[in-house]
Order: sequence, then structure tokens, then C-alpha cells
Amino acid sequence: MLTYTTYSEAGGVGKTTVGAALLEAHAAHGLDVLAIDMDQQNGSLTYLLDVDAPRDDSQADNIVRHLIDRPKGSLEDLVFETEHGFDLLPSHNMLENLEDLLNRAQRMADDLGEGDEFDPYDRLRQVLMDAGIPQEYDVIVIDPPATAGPHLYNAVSATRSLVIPVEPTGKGMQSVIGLEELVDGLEERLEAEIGVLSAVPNGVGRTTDQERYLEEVRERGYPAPVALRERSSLFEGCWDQQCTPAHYVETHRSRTRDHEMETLEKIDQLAGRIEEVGGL
Amino acid sequence: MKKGSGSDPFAESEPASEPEPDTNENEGEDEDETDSETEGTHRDEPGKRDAETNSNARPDEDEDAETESAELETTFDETASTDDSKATASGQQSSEREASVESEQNSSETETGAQTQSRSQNAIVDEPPQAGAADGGVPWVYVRDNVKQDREMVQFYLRDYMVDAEDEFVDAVSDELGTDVSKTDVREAAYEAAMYNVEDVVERLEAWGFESRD
Repeated sequence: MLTYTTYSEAGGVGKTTVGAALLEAHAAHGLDVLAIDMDQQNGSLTYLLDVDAPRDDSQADNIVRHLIDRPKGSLEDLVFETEHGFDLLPSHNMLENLEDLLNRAQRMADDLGEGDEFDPYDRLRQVLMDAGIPQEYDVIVIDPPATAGPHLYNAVSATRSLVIPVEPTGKGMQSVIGLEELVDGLEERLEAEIGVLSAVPNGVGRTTDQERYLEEVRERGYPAPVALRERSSLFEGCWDQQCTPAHYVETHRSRTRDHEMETLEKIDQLAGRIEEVGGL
Repeated sequence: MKKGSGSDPFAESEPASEPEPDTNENEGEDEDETDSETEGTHRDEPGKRDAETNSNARPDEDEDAETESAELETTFDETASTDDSKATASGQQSSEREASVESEQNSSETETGAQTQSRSQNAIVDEPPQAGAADGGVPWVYVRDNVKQDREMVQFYLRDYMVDAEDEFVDAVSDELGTDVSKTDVREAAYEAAMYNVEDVVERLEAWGFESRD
């Protein structure tokens, strides 16, 4: 099976939009796909996909309740079917307090003498396994917030592989250089081998720059099959209409635009390549 | 790090280690317990009801915490015995208390049961709603969306010396708790705490000049 976390250190590099496009492409390849939204911000995958989950109903069951061992129902019941061919475990406002809640759950486990079995950064993996989710899907993709913290650690621990949208600017490339350090840190912390399935230069201006950035990323040792050109009109349209890129082009564009089709094809290629590298 | 995919997360393997969460452990926890723990030291007339306080409000304390509370009250004696409002005095001891916060917090979880018991014996006020069971054990501060949620606005008339002391009171509580807490929360917790200490309230009223009809 294929599992990965979409990660980027900087916000605003289209992490969630590219993620949604990849999810859609995996599904179009005939795979059973689950997305997990670990981002507590309003502009998250759950919003983009227009999934009507009770994110601010504190009484409702949600992913966090499962992570802190206080579920109100089964995890499968939290999974929504999106109209884009894949499933989504949506975000919830309670994710804002995840760190405190995990610490508290850890102390309670300690008091009950079960502290050794409770790892606050490995809860998501545990919960997914207990619910038999890995058996249900071919692909699991987790979208965490960009900041380091328990959301990211849980996502990485549950997937062990990363797909990394990168902004092809000086700052963006700097964060690629810092990536090795970050991944090493994660490996040490989670005691697991973390792999990078792909880096994705996103928002490249000119075609000539694309190759240069791809070279640079590849030289650092990261697989980088495609670079995506600047597509703010397409990506912003997705957020306006709350849908995936392919859906947007199909439904909300009166005519096909070659450059957008090219971007969608590249994302499709990328998804295929990730599947290959991931062993599907 | 590795090019390509990492290890299989769902292969049965050694569970990952438990990294130490690097956060403020005290943040937001155990509002009720902490409140009632501090209530004894905040409000008791030093020297007068030590024994009573210890047996009522802290029936199940472990030895460490008990020693601490004795220390705290001694400190309180020195700094606050002449202070009528008490509210302002607590700030001065916060540094002495800091060291004790952690162990008090640790003991607070195990105390809950006993505390609940002692509360229900002389309960004027019910257990707070959503204190636990009804919400699967998720504390209220985590499930509410804002500080005014579920709260009714009540007018309170306070004399200037109390209004002046409020900010310092909130700071002192925040210090001891180890996390910032809003005035709204402190006010309700203080009021609730007072409901478990009717005698203390009566003493204050008597000091203001209220006399028994008998």
C-alpha cells in the first residue's frame, strides 16, 4: 500500500491544492484512496472539498477524540465519501488543542499504568490500525499543517513517506536544503525510516526555470519527476468553487485551456510516479 | 532519510519510542482541581483553619503535596495576615509556589475522586456540567469555542479595592496554574470555590459589620 504525508515547511505553496489533485489522480487510476485532514485551519482540505463535516460541534465524534482514546463511535463512521472518487476523514476544530489533549491523555495513561503503550506521536497510526483502515484502502494521504508539532509527527509516523511541494524561490530552495535535517529529526523522534517519494516544484514561472529547479532538487537527492508551472488562476478557482483542480477544469471552465490541461497531465504523471515509487 | 518510500507504517513492528512532549505540561489542565486546590491557600485565614482545610478540601493528598501546602500557608501567614482582601497577597508568593506547581498538578488527577466525594457531602453547587463523564472525559476548556460559551452574564458590584486587585489575582492564578487564564474563568472558579467555603465568606461579611440576629 501507498501512504504519504504532503508536507511543506512554508505555507502557501499549494500543498493542499496539489494534494487534492494527487488524491483525485490516484482515484482516477482505480485505487481506493483515503485522505486524512489533520490541518485545523479553516483553509484545509475539508473546506476545499466542501465536505460538510461538523467541525465546530464539540460534542460530535471526531478524529481527535479517537487520538486521545475518547471516541464516541467507530472511526469508519467519521469517513466521508467525497464527490471526487476518494474518501476523506475530515478536520475538526478540536485539532487546535491536539497538543494539550495528547499530553493530558498521556498523563491519564501514565496514571493507569498504561503509559508505555501510549505514544502521543504515534496515535494516528495506532488508531488507523485498530480500525482496520489500512486493509480498506490502497492509498492513504495525510494533509497536516505546515508547522512542526503533534499533527505533523502523527501524520509522518502514520505514513513514513513524504511528498513535498516546494516553492522554487530562494527561500523555497533553502527549505529543501533544510529538509534533510528535518527528516533526520523526524526519523530520530519517531524511530522510523522516512522516505521522500517526491519533491514537487510548484509555481515555476518560465519553462526554462522548470528544468533548472528540477535539476537543483534532484541534485539534492530527491526524486522530482515534474515541476508545476504557476497556475494561480486554476488553483484559486479551486478554492473559490471548493473542488479539485480536475473537477474545476471540467465543470467551471467554459473552454479547455491547454496550459491547464498540461498541469493536470503532469499531476497525473506525478501521481503515477509516486504510485510506482511507493510500490503499487 | 531515503529516496522513495519509507518503512511500512502498518507492518507489525516495534512501536515507536515515546518522545517527551516538549510542551507546557500544565497548560489548561485540571481547571477545577487546581482551582479548589488553591482555594485553601488563597482564602483561609492563616492559622485559623489549617486543620479543617486540610481535612476537607485535600483529603487524599500525597505527602509531598501536603508538605507543600503547609509551606505555602506559612508563606501566606507572613505575607497576608494583615491583608483583608487576600487577593493581592497571592502574587508575592508565586515564585515560591512555582516549584510546587508540578507536583501539585500531578497529584491533582489522583485526587479527583476523593475531592468529588468531599464536595458532594456539603454541596451547595452541583458538579460543573461537562466535567467529565458526559463528554467522554474531555475537559470543558477544550470543548468550548470561547470563554463566554455556556455562560450567562451576571452583574457584579465590586468596590474599588476589589476591582484593583482583580488583575493581580488573575496573574497569581495564572502563575500557579502555569498557563494564562481569563478573568472570566478565574471569576467563576473563585465564586465556585467560595461556595465550598461558606464560613470564610461569613467571616468576611462579619468583618464588614453584618451581625447575627441572635
